[in-house]
Amino acid sequence: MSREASVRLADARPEALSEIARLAEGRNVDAVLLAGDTFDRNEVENALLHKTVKAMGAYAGPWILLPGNHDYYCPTGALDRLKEVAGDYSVDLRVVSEPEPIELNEGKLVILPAPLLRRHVAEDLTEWFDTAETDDGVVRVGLAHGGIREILPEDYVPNNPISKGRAITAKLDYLALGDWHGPMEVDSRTYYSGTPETNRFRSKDPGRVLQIRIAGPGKIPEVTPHAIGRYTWRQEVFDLHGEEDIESMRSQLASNSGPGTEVLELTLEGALDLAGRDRLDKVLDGIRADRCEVRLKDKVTASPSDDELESFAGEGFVREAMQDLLAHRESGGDDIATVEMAMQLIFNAHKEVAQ
Amino acid sequence: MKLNALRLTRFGCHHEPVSLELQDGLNIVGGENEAGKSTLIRGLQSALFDKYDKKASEILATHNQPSPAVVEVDFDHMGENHHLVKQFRSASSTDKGNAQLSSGGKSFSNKDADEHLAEILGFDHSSSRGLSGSKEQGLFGLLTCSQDNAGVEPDPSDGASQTLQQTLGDQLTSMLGGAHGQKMMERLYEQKGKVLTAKGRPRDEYKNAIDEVDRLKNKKREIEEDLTDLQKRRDNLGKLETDLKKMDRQDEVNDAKKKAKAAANQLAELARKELELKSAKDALKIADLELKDSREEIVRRKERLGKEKNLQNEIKVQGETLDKLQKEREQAQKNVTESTKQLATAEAVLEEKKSLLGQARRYDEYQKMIEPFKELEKALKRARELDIEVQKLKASVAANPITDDKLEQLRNTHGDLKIAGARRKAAATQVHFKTGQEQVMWNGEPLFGEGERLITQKTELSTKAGLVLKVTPGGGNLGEIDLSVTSAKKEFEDLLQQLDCPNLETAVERHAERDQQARDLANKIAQLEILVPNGVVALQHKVETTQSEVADRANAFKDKPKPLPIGNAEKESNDAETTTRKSRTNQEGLQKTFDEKDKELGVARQKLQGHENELENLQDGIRASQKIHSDKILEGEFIAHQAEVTQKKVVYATIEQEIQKLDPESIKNEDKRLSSAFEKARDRYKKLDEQYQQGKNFLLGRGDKEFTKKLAEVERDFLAVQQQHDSLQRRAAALSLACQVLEKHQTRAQDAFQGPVIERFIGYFKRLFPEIEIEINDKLQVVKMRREGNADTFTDLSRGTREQIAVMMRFAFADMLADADQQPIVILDDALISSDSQRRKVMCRLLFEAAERYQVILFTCQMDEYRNCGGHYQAMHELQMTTS
Repeated sequence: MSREASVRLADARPEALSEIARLAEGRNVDAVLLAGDTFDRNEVENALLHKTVKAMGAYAGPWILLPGNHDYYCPTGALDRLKEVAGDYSVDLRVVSEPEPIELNEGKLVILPAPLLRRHVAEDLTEWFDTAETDDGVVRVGLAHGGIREILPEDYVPNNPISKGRAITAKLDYLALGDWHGPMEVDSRTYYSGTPETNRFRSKDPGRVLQIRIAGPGKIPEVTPHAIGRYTWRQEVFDLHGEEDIESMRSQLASNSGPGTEVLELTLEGALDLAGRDRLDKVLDGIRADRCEVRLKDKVTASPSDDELESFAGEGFVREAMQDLLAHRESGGDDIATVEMAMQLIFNAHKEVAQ
Repeated sequence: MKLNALRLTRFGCHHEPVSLELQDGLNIVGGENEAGKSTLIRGLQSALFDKYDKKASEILATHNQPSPAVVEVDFDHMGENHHLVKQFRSASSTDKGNAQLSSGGKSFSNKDADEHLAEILGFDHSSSRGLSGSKEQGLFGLLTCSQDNAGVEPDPSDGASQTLQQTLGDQLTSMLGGAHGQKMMERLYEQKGKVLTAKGRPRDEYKNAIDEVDRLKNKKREIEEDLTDLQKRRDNLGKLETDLKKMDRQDEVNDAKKKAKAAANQLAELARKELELKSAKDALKIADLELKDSREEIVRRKERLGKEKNLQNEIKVQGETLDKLQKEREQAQKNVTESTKQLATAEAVLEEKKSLLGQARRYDEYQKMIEPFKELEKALKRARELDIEVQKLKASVAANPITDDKLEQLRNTHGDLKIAGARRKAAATQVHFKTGQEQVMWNGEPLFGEGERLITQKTELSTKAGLVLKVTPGGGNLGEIDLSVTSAKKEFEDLLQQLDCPNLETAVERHAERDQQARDLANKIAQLEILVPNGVVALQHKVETTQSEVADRANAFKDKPKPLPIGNAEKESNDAETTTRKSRTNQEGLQKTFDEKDKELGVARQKLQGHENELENLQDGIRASQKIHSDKILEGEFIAHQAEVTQKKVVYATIEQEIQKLDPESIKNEDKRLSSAFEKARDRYKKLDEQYQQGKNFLLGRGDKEFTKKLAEVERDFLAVQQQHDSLQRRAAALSLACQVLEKHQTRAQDAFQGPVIERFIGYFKRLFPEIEIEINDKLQVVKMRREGNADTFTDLSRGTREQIAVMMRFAFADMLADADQQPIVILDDALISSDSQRRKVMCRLLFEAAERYQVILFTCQMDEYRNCGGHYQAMHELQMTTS
């Protein structure tokens, strides 16, 4: 990834918080719950902590910050220091460091948190929700960070397990979960909100926050997603076999991309002659210029066409060399890309000299 | 290609037009050196390869004519006839040159003519081709063999010298690589050179990218290690916090503290008892001491009484000793007095004897003075006589004026006079005459008889018969010499007169006389100095002084008895001295004995006094003690102290039993254990707390070190550099592969052509050297020649052999081209000039055979050698054209 792209993407997370604050203030919500991994790691610099709290400024709070596996709570960890930093700002920021109920909205809303005090735990930290006592008429909301094995993809192995039926067994009105990058509904009372700003290609519908409206205890919550992410992470695959395919790809990619906010993973397959390969390289330069970042997976093979080989007809041993390389390429091997590039270089040099 | 005709006008040394008509096969052009053979070849090269607008002076520096140099060539190539005319302008001309080419019915002018010509001959006229070397002339240059390059072997140190192999290689690359092969390879090598060194190592941007990747990897690893360390510390801090909280909850420290305090109280009770025991022990000890004091006082009193008695006995013995010593001292004193008197008598006798000895010595000295005094008087008398003689001799010497200098001067003057005389005699003419009957006149005076005469001035001799003989004596300066004789004579005589001598001999005698007197004088003076070194007056003074002393001594002994002989006087004096010394020794011994007795008496008195004082003190003490405590009271106190000690022992035993009941060992161990447990708990808590605080402070201090930010930056940089590195790596590998494959096929193509060339060359070589084995490498270089068991390298060969090899190599290459229908022409310009007649015959046959396959043009200065070898022969002087 280019340096410029990395810087831009790193700045996106505080910008997303700022957007959440504006949304929360506009909707007059009772609280904002962050379900872990506000930070990538505990070893963040103080400047980022200040930047984070400042970004929350549009909404006075309360902000309930649950430690996740990346920013698990520990003395001097990111969230511990964030508490200190928040003292300098007029934001009601509460970092959860103990599995104890948090009363909000004059006791009408109780948050039952399951903070991570280590990166990974084997036990279900939400288990205590089942026995947590609250007054009658109070809305019970669980807040946890981890994985529900049964509903996540098979290749996802949760380190911090959460029981799938926790909302029911703990009589929760809503269970807010973090750790999964895309939004996901587990059941009518249990949701993964996903990350507010996308940071990987694998995320499904990323860049959103969920607004939860609960009419009263026992009522089914009303969940409204809001898209706030700036960057789109896009994956495209093209099969190229000639000039037309290259042009088609170029126009297709040019038609639907926001200037500078797209991170594109471009997988190219197919086979081109040497002139086509040369053209493709030039088109790729243009595609890169329009985007935040292009991750290229170039699997296109290149070899001289009959016409191109014919252009070496009067060139004596040069033609022999090209045919030798071509035979090498067709025989297979680990260095096919090098062979193709060598052919391309000879072809280009010959073209330049001939001109 | 086949040349038909070559015509030059105003070209080089050919001021007049020349025309060379050429035929198929072997053409031989014979001409002496400087006949212009090489200029013909140069003209042909200019027509074919020099651009039409080149100045004639650039082609031939000697061209200084206003008119252009003209070259005309008629040739056939690939079945078509071509006629080329080029006019190279003179340096002063503003006109451009001119080229006209007629090819297969088409006409081309100037630039078009040059380009068409290049196309026909297969080279690019727009490139840098010129005439600087055979390489630039293509196959034409390759097959032209002059005497300059006939024997050229590869010489790496000479960049300008193209080897046959290099030429072949370059030509083949162009020929075999098509129109663009060479340039394309150069371009790829240039691209490769930007990323890889000649040895294939990364360079510049590629090398920097590799270095940067390594640097960033290391930096990333360092930051990650820092971050891992921070994470570990943070996790550890969390554990510490948990442990502390756990300890707080269980109140571990306070509990240990309470137990430790209870044990401490038990221990304090034990300590109090032990203090009591110690007090009882101290009281018993004091009672014991008091009992001991009472016992000792009784013992001391008994000891004093015994000591009093001893002292009294001692004093009695001391008194007796003192009396005895007193008597001995008195006797010693008497002895001293007697011996002192004896010493005084001996000393008086000694004094008298010493006085007599003094008189004897003074008389003896007086007797010894008389004889030397008489000797002195004699010496004074002799000195006075010598002094008178010296004065006389001094006067005689002073009166004689003939000193050494004067005599020398006189001799010199006399010598001068003799020299002047001799000069005069030498200058005059000595005449021996014998007149006979003839009357001869000498300066008008008659001269008769026989004799000799010196002619010192102009002299006229005449006879009556009319003979006149005028004689001028030798040298015209006789008069001058006469003057010098006169002057010398006068000087000599003046000096004689001055010295009052009649002649030199007298002067010599008088000088000898003066010399003798001077020697006598010196002798007398020497005698006088030996006799009286300080002078006569000093001696006289000494005589007078001595005389006075002798008179004084004589007066002293006048009218007195004659003293003893000195020997007797000395003996008596020595005897008296011995007697005195003995008396003194005796007296000193007695005095010492007295002093010792006196001292001994003093000591005895002091000792007696000491005993008396001690006895007095002792008796005072006994009396005082008895006054305070009578012996009876002392006994009573002793018994009381014995009772007290018994009572204190009972108290001590009681307390000791109480302590044993408390089990002090157990109390102490329990206190120690609980106290230690408390300290451990407290220390652990403190240590954990300190660790926690330290860890927290450390982490808070490191919180703003921006490791994450730096890591993100490094990762970003690393990714960017890695991409650049990968791209360059791929490019470098691809360029290497491209160059490697191209080189391989270029070499193969060259080998394909070089093989037949070598094969043909060896065929020719065997014709010339059937017995010699030759080894040629793939670069067409002669590596070795083996003959009669010896191996030679190319440079070991003679010039003749080398030029034969060079010509045969060109035949081999031309054969190959002929087989490929390329129509080569071989041009040899005196290329076999160093060959011997035997080999030249073989080379002639080869020439003839080659000419059957293609055109061969041989320029030679050895006309007779080649005139009849079968070719078309033309002499240079026959090439002159008639100007139309």
